[in-house]
Amino acid sequence: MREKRTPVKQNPILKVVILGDSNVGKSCLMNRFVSNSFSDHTLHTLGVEFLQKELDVNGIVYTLQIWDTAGQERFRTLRTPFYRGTDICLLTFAVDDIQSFKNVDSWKREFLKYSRTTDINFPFLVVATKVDLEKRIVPKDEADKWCSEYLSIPYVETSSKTDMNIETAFALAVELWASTERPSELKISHHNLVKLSRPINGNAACPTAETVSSKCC
Amino acid sequence: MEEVLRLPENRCKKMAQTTKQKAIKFGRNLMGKKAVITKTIADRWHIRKGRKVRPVEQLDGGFFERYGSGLKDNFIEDTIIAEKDKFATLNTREILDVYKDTETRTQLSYKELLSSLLELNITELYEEVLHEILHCIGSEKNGLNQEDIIAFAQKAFKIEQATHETIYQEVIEKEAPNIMLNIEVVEGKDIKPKDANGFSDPFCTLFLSSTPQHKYNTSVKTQTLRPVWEEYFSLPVETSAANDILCVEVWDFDPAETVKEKVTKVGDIKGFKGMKRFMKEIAVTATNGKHDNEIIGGTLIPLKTIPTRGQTAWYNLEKKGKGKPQGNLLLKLSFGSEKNKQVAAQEHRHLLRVLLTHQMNVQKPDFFSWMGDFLPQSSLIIQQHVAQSNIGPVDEYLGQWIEFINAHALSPVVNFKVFSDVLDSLVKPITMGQLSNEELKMFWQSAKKLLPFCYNSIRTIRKKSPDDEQLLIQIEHVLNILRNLLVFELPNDMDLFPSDIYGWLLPCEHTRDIRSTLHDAVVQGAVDWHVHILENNKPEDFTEEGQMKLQLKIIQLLKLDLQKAVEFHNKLFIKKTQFPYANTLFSIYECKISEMCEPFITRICTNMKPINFEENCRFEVERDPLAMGTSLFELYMGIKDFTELGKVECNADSETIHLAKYHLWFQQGVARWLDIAAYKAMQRIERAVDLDKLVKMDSTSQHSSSAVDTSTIFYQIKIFWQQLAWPDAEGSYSFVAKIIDDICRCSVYYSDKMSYKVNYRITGIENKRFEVTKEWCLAVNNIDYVKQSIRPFVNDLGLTQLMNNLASYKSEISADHCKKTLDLVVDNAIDTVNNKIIDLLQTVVNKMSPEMNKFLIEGGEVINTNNTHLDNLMQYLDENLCTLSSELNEENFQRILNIIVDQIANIMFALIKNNLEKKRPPSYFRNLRDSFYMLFGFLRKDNETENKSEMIEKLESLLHLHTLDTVDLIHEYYLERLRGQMEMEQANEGMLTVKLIFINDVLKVDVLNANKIKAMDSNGFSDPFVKVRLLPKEKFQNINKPTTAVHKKTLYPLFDECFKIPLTPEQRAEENGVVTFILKDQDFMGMTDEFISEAFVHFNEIPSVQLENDTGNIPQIRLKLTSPKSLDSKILKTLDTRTTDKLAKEFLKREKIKIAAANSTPKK
Repeated sequence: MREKRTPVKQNPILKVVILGDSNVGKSCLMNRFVSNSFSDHTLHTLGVEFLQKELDVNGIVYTLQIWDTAGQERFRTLRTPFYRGTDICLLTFAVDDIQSFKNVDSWKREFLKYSRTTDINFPFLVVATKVDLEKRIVPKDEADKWCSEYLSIPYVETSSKTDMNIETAFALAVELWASTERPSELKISHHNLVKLSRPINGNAACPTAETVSSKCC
Repeated sequence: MEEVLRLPENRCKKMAQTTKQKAIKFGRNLMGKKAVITKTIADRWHIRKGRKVRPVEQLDGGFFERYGSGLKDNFIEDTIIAEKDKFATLNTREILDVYKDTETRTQLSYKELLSSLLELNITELYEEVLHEILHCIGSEKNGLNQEDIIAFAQKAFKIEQATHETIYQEVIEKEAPNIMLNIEVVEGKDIKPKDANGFSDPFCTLFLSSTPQHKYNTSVKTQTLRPVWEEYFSLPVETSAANDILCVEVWDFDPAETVKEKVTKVGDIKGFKGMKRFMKEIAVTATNGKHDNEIIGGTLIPLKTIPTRGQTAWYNLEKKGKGKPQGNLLLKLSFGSEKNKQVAAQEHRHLLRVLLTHQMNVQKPDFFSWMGDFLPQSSLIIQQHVAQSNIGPVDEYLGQWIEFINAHALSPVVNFKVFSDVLDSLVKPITMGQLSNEELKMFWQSAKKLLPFCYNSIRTIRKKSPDDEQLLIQIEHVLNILRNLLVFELPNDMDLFPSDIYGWLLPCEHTRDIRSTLHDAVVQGAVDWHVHILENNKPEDFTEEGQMKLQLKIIQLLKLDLQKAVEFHNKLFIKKTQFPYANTLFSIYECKISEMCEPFITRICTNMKPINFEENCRFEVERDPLAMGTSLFELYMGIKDFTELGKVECNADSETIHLAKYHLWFQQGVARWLDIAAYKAMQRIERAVDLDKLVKMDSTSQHSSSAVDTSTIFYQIKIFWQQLAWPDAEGSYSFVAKIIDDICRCSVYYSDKMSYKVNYRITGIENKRFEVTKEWCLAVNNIDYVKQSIRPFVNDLGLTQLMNNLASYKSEISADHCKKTLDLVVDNAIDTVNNKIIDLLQTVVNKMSPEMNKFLIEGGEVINTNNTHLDNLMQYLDENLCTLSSELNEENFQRILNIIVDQIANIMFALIKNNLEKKRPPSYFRNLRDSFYMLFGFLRKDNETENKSEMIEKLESLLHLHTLDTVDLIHEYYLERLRGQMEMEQANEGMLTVKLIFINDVLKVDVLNANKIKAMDSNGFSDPFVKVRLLPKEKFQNINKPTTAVHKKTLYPLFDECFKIPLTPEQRAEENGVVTFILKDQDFMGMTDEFISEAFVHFNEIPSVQLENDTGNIPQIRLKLTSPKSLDSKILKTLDTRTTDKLAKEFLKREKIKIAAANSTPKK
């Protein structure tokens, strides 16, 4: 039974959207975080995918509702409707793909355009993926420097394959959200506005990519 | 349809209904069908609700209702009617325009036509006609007398009286015309046998009774009773023809040498005339020579019985003295003249021209109305001319073809059926090559004149209502003409399609032919129609909204035209000419639509501004930027329906057409629309909750208006999606995910709003005790109602189909992936709403809490459980539960019962905590416990013990402890320690090895050894010994209390001592008897021995035997040694509250010493 038997204090629910170029490993990031699984062979995401997980950050259990999006250009129209009502946005790039790094800013702009957020302090986090790869092209210092100086967005390096910094990245994102000053009525509207929540047994039934055989290109 | 225009309004509707049904029956108006269904549902809905427009809809001017409502139908009907009006006026005007062109081209009138007969002096023709009238032949006169006909002819030929009289005189004096009776002797049958061999050798002899000397004989057919001759004869008919008789005789030939000789000379004869002569000779020989020819029979045919146009008939052969027929003879008889064939044919054409001209002047037929019928006098004149001038059928048809077309070219009055029929008759002669080159040329020259009319009628097919029967017949004849012409080889020395007439022909590389021109005509017609529609629908409103509406109208008009084409014309084109009419129209229109819409729509969709949810102002309906979503949707539907029509009815290739990917133009727009819809839905939900009076909709429903309003919004969004019928699987999935997510958000939003409303707006008078009202129950039911609509909603979105499409488009795994995402979103939403329900129920119970609290506090004070306070509480609960039970569904009722039980447990828990400070005796708590179980039993009918909530378990264990006497509580403590020992994973404080057995009522204990025990002394060792005791202490007062010897300076003492402890049967049977081994350190001073650790064994664990001999293999038990670490145990805490209880105090004191020892470090 998923519903609560006795009323308990509900978890704060945060909607997280993961953006980034096709093939940087957004789905892998989500699957590693939610179901602690990893596969080298993952399908292209069709439009959007949704998973949920609870995460304890500084003693508060948050329910993260994560929307993974399709990075391919042809899905642009289909993914942008999901930006609205987002609490946290993860901007991803792969360290072996310079273009994906260059596109981080345009992803940020796309998000701001379609989410229509009025929050100037909206919590973004730049997440570098695939740092386990030897043929790394984007150096850490450069990425870090660019993110902080140009974008003013915190930066974290991860590897879904080796499970490096995955939970840390999400926890960091939640901390950012919690520490962001935002107008009080906005916060209220967030919580009056419609949240999906599953306070108990939230991270069940996660589709994983392990069984997928077709090779992604 | 046209009747609709004239009917009063109420009947109009009825007609529109029938039209609609018709459309459905035809299976073409897909959209109409859907709309009808939608409308029926909506109607039912309104009826049920008993009002027309729900106030919620007014909020946004019926934003959702505009999708899939009957509006669209009305729009189409209106458009049709409006357009019809336009075309009605346009019809006559344009038709005249078209024919004015024809007229100016020819610049001829009927008078001039007559003077065009230059080849033949009209008076000569007149003379000829008068001559024929005077010498009428044939059987029919149609009751017309000669004078009338002559007067008619004079009028038709416009002959002055004087001239007439001169000519008339000449004609009277003139000899009778040289009329020939043409006879074909076809065959004979049932001829009587005359020869010995059972056959005859028949031949025929023909002559006229007035000139019996002129005999004509056929050839002889030997030995047959079914002779076939097929021989032709022309007998000159004298002036007195009226009374003449044709005699035909059949003879049996008796061969005579002379005749035989002559017959053998057949090969030498040349030419038809020679043959005639030759036959005559034979006949003369045969009749005059020596022979024994015998007559078989004969027949007499008076000439006046033969019709002017001739006849073919079987005649009986009679013989004098024989009653029975001697056989039958098939004769083909007709009159003719010996005129030159070409001259006669030309003369006939001129006659037709004169009579046609007269016909038109007299009759003045409407356009395309003349069916080829002449005035009776004209017919007679024509018939006489045919007969007396020896006009053959081919000449006659060709003459009609040429002259009718000539007349038509002057003024298009001839019905296409006439041409079609004439051409049908000409097909065979032409294909058989019976026409001379000269005649063929004339045929094609006329065809060339006729063709523009044919093609024009196709180009202007839309001038008349498509279901106009006349038009359909016309088209069928036109197509028939074209079909026949298609068969012929075109003359290569003639330009059939001169560019000055066919200005509209499309440029083309190849030679033009009938078919390619037909194609061009159809295309041109479609293009003209498109232009016409554009001209009549010039943009007046240059806003995007206005342009969308205009484009939609244009598409609908084109679709309407295509629909008509499919319904009425296409079949004809296919049947007659195999020409894909509807398909051709579709390709033209779809191209035009594509050109018109694609850039526009793409631009609009890209520029659509997203909506800010945060903006809380309401838009005025007219200025509402969202309304554009509606027009865009309608435009989408328009294009979709048009494309469907093309694919389904016009065999359009769905891959190659311009409209193949029309939906992608809209993709961004749909995404935005869904955003808009979500925003609108939330606005509506807020309003719906505001308006809700929290009164049941009707006696059967359990919810109020806002729940219905909310699920209606869901229904509308669903209808939107279903009508959208998004064609590609990938896009569908994302949109469906978005829709489901939005619906889930809406449901949760509704729950919040509803809860807020009932909580803050439906409040009773302060300080009065809270009673559950129906409003509270309705709020719960409303949320439940909305929740229950989620799953059916999702199912209705067509997920199964979508997943199948995805599976075939991508892979099963992808589809599965997507399905899981959607399921997760839905499950989440339902869980969340359920939690909202529980929250609301909790709120209700919280409001009931003060009362329950009051009753329970009062009830606890009284020793007797049957006190009135408890009764009051039960009554209070009962009253409210009655309301809840009758208003809520079973599931929610059970939920609130659980919450109440929990709440009571909560209150009692607080009560106990509170009273512990007051040092209440166990009896007080027993009273509370009994009260609780009474309530618990009351609230849970089946007294179920499973699924107890955490709270209840907590309360129960608390009650259990505080209701126990101190002795029992102490033993409970030991049992808890025993459990702790069992659950320990590692033996941190060492192990004790023992053997234990019951021999009847004697407990035999072997204390074997201990290892790794704690060092108590500063030297790193202990001086251990073991005390064996049985618990509960009070039950085992008078028994041995054995103790082992002390082992000095060791952590691994080897005791190896055996004790026997005799027990009474009662002691032996002690249910929770426990053996405890207390390990102690002998004090250095020998004053107080220090506690090291202890171990416990339950009686249940100890094996039992009857005889001492059986104790051979008692297993060793290795016990983990433990020690109490703190006073955290609930039991110790409970004992601590019993400050006046000596036993409790002493026990605690001892345990505190143990704890101190266990936590101590070895002494110095």
